Formats: sequence, C-alpha cells, structure tokens
Amino acid sequence: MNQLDPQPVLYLDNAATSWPKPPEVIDAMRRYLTEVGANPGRSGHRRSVEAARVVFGAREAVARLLGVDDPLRVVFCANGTHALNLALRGLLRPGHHVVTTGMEHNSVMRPLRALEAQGVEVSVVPCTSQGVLDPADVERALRPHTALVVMTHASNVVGTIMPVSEVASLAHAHDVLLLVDGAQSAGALPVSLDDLGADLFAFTGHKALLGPTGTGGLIVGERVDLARFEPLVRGGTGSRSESQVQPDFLPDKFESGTLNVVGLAGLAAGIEWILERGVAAVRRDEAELTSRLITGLAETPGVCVYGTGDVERQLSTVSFTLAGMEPGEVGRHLDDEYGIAARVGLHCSPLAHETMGTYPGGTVRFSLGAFTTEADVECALRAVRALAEAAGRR
Amino acid sequence: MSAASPTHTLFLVPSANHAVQGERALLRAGLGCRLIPVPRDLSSQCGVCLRVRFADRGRTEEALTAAGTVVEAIHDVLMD
Repeated sequence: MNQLDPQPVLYLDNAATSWPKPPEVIDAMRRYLTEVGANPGRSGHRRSVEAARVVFGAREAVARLLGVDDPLRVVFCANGTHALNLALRGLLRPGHHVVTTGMEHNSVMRPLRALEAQGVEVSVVPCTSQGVLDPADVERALRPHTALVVMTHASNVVGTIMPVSEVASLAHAHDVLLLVDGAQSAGALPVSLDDLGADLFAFTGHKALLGPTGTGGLIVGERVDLARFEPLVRGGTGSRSESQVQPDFLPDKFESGTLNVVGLAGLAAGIEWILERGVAAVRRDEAELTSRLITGLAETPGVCVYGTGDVERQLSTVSFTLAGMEPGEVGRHLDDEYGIAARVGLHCSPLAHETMGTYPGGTVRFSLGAFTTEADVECALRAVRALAEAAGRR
Repeated sequence: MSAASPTHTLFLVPSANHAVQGERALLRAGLGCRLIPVPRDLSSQCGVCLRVRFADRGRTEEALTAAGTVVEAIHDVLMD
C-alpha cells in the first residue's frame, strides 16, 4: 500500500533517479502496453514487428543523443550497473591490468574487486579532495598489460566532470580501451562519443534521460574486438534460432532474453523530450540553479560544500555537511519537516567519499533535475538554514 | 510452359533489429516494404525479412547497402 501522505514533495534526488517524468514517457509506455504488447523479434506478426520498431526507435534515440552513427551499437541492459558489469566482466581476464580513478561508484569498484580476486590487476589513480583527476596520473599508471581504463564521466557524489577526452587520448596512444560510466552524464551533458573518445559508454535510462527504471545500456565502439568480448548472459535473441550457439553480432550477442520493451518505449520518449529542448539548454538552466544552490549553501553558517564549487566543472549534484548534525539526521528532518527528498550517506561510492575525506559519515546530496525550479532551490536553502540554526543551538 | 515471373523480392537479414533498420532506410529512400515472417523453405530462423516489389529489387539493394544494413540472402519469389 502506498504510504505517502499528500504533502507536496520537493524532489532533489535526481542523481538517484529523475522525477517527475515527462507525461510523454508515461504515454509512450501506456501505448506500448495497450496497443502493441508483443515480444520484439520473436514472431513475425504485426504486433511483434511493431514492438521491434519500438525497440529500434529507442536505439535511434540513444544514438542521436550520444552522437553514435550506428544504432545497432547500442546494447540495451537492465541499468547502468548491468552495462558496466557487461563491459568489465566481458573484456577483462586474469593477467590483465585495469586502471580506474578514486571517484568511482560501486558499480565499477565491486565488479573490479571481484575481478581482482580472479587475477585481474587493479590500479586506482587518486583524485583531489574536490574529485579532480589529473590525466597524467592515469598515463603514469598504464602498464604493458593494461587492457582497459574505466572511469566515471561525472561523479555521482559531487558532480565533478572528469577529463574523459584527455584520458581517452592518452589511453589510445598506449593502445588501451576506455570504458566510461555515463550514469550521471548521459542527458545531463552534451555528449558526442566521437569527441569524448570513449570506446565503451555505459548509460542508465532512468536518470537524466528521464526514462523509467529498468533501462540502460552500453555503447560498443568500433575499436572493441567483439570476438574477445564475452556476453554476461546467453540465450534466446530471436535471431539465428536454428543455432545453439550465441550470435556473434551486435546487439544480439549481448541481448539475450526479452528486453524491457515498455521501459524502452518510455526511454525513447524521455530522450525525445530532452532533444526537443536541447541538452545544452537543459544543462544551462540546471547550472544556473546549481550556482544559486552552491552559493546559498556556502553562505549558510556551519555548512561545508564539497566539490569544485564551479558549475562549469560539475553537474547539478551538490554534496554538503552540516556541523553538529549527522547527514542521516539532516535527511530525516528534510523529509519529515520540509517534504524535501535528498539522499544522504555514502551514495554507493565509499571510494569517492574516502577521496573527499567524508568517509564513513558521508554527506547530504541535493541533485537537481530538468523540472527543478528556482523556487525549489530557495525552499531547500531555507530548510537548510533552519536546520543549521537548530544545530547551532545544540 | 514458362515459369511465372517473381512478384516480390525477400531480403533476409540477421535479426529483427536489422529488419527495422532496413525498413527505416527504405522508407527514407521512398521505397515501400513489408516486414514478414521468413518463409520456412528459405530459412529455419523464426525472424522477419523485408519484402519489396520485385520491380524495386535493384533500388532496394542499393538503399540497404548505402544504409549499411547487413543482408544475408536475397530471394525472388512469387507471392500474393
């Protein structure tokens, strides 16, 4: 049973998942469920073909947003974590060396630590306490047997945008592939994979792409040798049904089992919504609000804001702590007394918090989205000021 | 007695993804097509193929090649 009360919510947890979704997303999902409903690629009837069109439309939308020439290079997964696991576990073997950074989410670190136990060597390049990475440090970490560099495009804790294209150039000069975790950046930053230089780009559909949960994927670039890239899951694809051997072509090699078609219908609509407005325009609006939020927080006595503090170098994700009040308590007061949804703690990124010096206590994170308004930011600032005063009186 | 002339051409592709990709390419080129189940006598796979009018065979082949759609086989057929 829904236990939400009718109090209006000020949703500032868009880095966890975006909300609300555009009405077009819900309409597209309803249309698939009521008018199509079939399994794509499994049958030859019209509804199955229409379902295949829905899926392909989502591939085209992702490809257009990320500047990918061939929509068939978009491999759909359950989420960004699934996509990262596919790339890491599909490409790395015992004896390989992999380089990553000190700002990674557990969606990168946990599969890497599991691979490390199986004989993959892992190097973690430190970042500054603001989450800033020096690309030269990545190059210094490369070794003759380095197979991959994996790094986030933008931190999920403080939003710091990482120097991906610089790292890509250095990695490619050493014939090393680059895997980018775009969970936070896809849809939030104008991204062209050619400019970025990523060989593999993992994205999630339910954050800045405004789609539903259960969607995400991996862009597989032309430099990736498919013959050396193992799927996580094998099974039915609707193609090559006469064979008991997994297809070797994209995207079927990596897409066994029925896709989340209703989710992909919504994802395509979410991306179209963004493309109509322009990623750069949405980014500009969010940056203005983020600037106001950072300034307001920094001016509040007892508040410590983390990250660069420069909206040109970060997404609309802002982490802070309040002197005299634990992040968990701040989050509870924000929710109970102000109807503000924020995320507190370690954000599934203990390594990033160690880098920032906020481990194990964590931070309070406000993450703005496409529907956040100036009034929302002012409301959040008033709430934090009130909590800071209360903490100061203790 | 001469054999009847083909009415349609079927383009067999690796998957439904490729079929829709090809359909999009043909629509852009102003060519009509239908996605239909692959006839069992042509392939044992359970997917769909692109059916075009036999008269459009050449232009279809050109459009699919230009779009980079992988075609595994081409069959001229007599169909309703």
